[in-house]
Amino acid sequence: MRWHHRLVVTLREWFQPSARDQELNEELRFHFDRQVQANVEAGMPLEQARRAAALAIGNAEPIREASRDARAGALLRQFIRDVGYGMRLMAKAPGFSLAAISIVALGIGAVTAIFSVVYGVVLKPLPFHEPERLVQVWAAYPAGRDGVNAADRREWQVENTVFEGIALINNLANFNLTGAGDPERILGARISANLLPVLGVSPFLGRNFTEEEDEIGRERVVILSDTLWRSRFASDPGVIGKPIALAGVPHVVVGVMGPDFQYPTREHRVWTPLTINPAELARKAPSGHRAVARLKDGVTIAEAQSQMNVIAARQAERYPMNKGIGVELAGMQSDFVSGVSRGLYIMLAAVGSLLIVAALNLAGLMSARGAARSRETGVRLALGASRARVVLQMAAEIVPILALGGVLGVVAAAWAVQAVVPFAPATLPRVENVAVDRYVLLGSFLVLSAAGLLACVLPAMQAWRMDVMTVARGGGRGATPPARQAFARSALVVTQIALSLPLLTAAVLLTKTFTAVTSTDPGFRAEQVVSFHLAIPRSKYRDDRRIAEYLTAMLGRVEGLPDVIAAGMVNRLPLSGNDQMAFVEFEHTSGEGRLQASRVVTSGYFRTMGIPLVEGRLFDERDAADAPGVALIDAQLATELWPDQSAVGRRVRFAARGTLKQASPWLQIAGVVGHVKHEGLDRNSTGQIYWHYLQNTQDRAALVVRTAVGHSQAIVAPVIARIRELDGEQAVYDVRTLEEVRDRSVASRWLSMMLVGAFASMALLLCCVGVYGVMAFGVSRQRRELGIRLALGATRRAVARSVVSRGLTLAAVGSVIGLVIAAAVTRAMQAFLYGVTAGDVVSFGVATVAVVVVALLASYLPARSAAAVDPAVTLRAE
Amino acid sequence: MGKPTDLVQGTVDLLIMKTIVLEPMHGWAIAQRIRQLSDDILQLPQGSLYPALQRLERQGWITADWGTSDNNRRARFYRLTRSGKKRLEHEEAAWERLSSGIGLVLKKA
Repeated sequence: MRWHHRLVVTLREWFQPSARDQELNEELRFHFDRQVQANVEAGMPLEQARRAAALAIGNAEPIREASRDARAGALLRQFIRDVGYGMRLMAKAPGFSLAAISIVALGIGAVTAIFSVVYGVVLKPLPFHEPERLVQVWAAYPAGRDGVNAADRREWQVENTVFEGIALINNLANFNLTGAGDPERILGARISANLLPVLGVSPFLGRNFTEEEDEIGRERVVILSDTLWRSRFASDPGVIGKPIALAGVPHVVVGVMGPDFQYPTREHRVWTPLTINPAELARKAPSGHRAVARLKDGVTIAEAQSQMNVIAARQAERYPMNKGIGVELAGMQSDFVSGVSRGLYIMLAAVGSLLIVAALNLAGLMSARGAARSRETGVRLALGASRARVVLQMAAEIVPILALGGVLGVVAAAWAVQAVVPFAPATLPRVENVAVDRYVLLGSFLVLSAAGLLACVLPAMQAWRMDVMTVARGGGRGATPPARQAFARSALVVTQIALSLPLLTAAVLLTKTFTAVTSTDPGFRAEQVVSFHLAIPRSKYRDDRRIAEYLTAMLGRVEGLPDVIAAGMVNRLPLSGNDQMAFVEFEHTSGEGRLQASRVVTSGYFRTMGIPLVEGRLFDERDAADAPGVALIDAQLATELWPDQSAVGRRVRFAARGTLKQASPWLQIAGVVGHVKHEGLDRNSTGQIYWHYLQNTQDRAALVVRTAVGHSQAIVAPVIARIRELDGEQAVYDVRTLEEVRDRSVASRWLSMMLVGAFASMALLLCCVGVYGVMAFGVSRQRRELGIRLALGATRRAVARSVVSRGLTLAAVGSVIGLVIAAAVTRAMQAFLYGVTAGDVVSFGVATVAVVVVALLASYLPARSAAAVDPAVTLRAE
Repeated sequence: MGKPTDLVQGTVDLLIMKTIVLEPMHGWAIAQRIRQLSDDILQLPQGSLYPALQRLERQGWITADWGTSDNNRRARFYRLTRSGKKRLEHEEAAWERLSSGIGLVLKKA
């Protein structure tokens, strides 16, 4: 019964508020009339009776107000009305609104974009079943971790009680895919049959590999990725059971994965069984595989680690080659992103600072507006509005700004993410997952609310503290703002400067780093050189001799093209990541063998790349496959080994190790060439050895072609045509100019420089606005005081100078605090810097000067208007 | 006459409910009756009366209907609902307990 009444009343109040108001009005009118009647009955004349009744009843408006306030949803209704008022206010002051909305959009957009990347790359769970139970298993050598031995893994599978399974993967298995359509180079991975169950995924079509298919000779099966299935096989489910030609060998398609399965990377197109060489299982051949394991339910990584320690120790006793080798487990997700998370967190810190600066700036803006409207607020308070009501309304006025800015910001972020992801460096894992998703939106919303709250607090405090009498008496114009308010606004600006300075310093440091990296001499001339990647299928070209003949023929054809100045081949381009190492020994040098970076090249490689010959000779026609072995070394290695003597004529050979039971014959060092940065511009490459492709043939090659000026793009099609003339099934991939290769190697540095630079510029701009706001506000408030000073004989110069010096004081205080923060922050960046130290005085100096100059500029206009004060006018006006 | 005693919110509710327990009444009559019954000690100003009536109505203790007053005007008559009656008994008991408690303290302390 009671609930029924309540519901009826609530619904009426909510849906017919005006009807309710009318009722109340009628009721109050009746009350008044009845009182008048009572007074008349008591013997008063009508006029007096009316007056007495009115007096007794008092003002009816508070009653209406109180009854409205007490009604269902009244607060919300009021708030909505205030928001509407805020919107009208916004439209009336477009300049102010535009500024405020852009500040919000800027902060939210930047934070959302960066948070999207951090979330997508670092925080988002891997797309596998219960990913927290997946661990990466490594062999722990004293020098670091490495791939797992297949024989060890077989024993672990039997002995451990902590894993549901341990799967092996071989990441890099490139195949030339031939058959219908252009020959294509595709990336595959070789996986043990239990990988998919361990990851907790199953094929979208068909089946997984069976254990038997892990055995040698039975592995001619393949699972396709969704991408390949769609692009090459037109999503035909009938592809299951049909053979496709991989590396010239037919493989039967047994399954197709779903689109979510992008393992180990999104680039992988096929998976084939990982067959383990029996020699590996007998511990007679080196073995190194990536391993992933799934923890049993309820087992922690620490528990698993301690059991694996015991097993590894037992193996170390049993097998000589296991001596000193442990096992290291790492959570798959953290392992996946460990290399990049630090950089991304720094980026997040940078954008976080920007957001705080933006929020403070907004608070400053709102507070200035609040002060300009102090008279209005004072009047409302005097007329009986509650302080809570006034503060709530101020909050409501910010809501449209926050909402509009927030939406714009998120849209901008979504756009920015779309635009930036294609440029993301290849080293950024899972970057394809980056999108503005609901967690990111939730995060942005929280950040937005926090920023809004921050922006509300100050103006609200102002209203709260407002002394009604002062405002009423002073008329709200002449009243100098209370010192505390002025101080609060200055504090806002100082904080903005203090937060922007570290950002600026970081930006300068990163820019210096980038300049240092890009101005590093790579050791070759990248201009006018185009590179093409080739993989020669051993199923077709069965031995080294045939491969070498094929490559020679190909080079001949390419060199014959007009506009080709020189052409050569190398098995791996410079600046393409980790070096390939060879275990060699040099004649008459101390020590046994050493690991030395080496590459296989054709004679034309050095001329094409513009790598200088320092001493001796390059490879030439004398160096045939059956001629005496020769090698070249680079200047760095030559200086290291024979500092005072010539390296030419000395000898080097492959030392016995692992599968190589016996050292190779000696090879003579024919010449010394310039040093080339192989691992990256910002890395100190070790010395290099070059082998001749006829004497040490590899089935991978990068063809480099130097063209006449302006022909590097036009040459691509003819070169590929020439190669296809020779072998129509030859896949040619990763065609890039060397300049592009060079730029890509520094792409991540470029990106971080640009982002932090952009954040810093925005922060600086906001600081400028902030300082200007405080100074201009101060001047407009102090016109009277300035007028008096001028009237008493102060020069205009002195007045202007006092304004500027106030601006500079703000900048100075902010800078000092900022420098302290910057010193702490940049230390964490040391690992990202190159050619500059974290404590670089110049960078700190540049950042500080920038801040001070901005403060000067921002004070200039207010100073000018202060100097232009006309004492006669201002004094009379008051 | 002196300053009328301030009435705390809970007491206003109690007085209103008690006043209309016998018959439905309109606002003015409720205020009047409270004044009479308290020998002019308790004066319920409009500013407290109508918000209180609305509050009670919203809580479902009382309900209102338009009717005709003694002077032939349309007036809003308030009456207790069934749950309002229960509520009143409960409140009355609570008040008794409270006032006798306070009385004891004032007498003995």
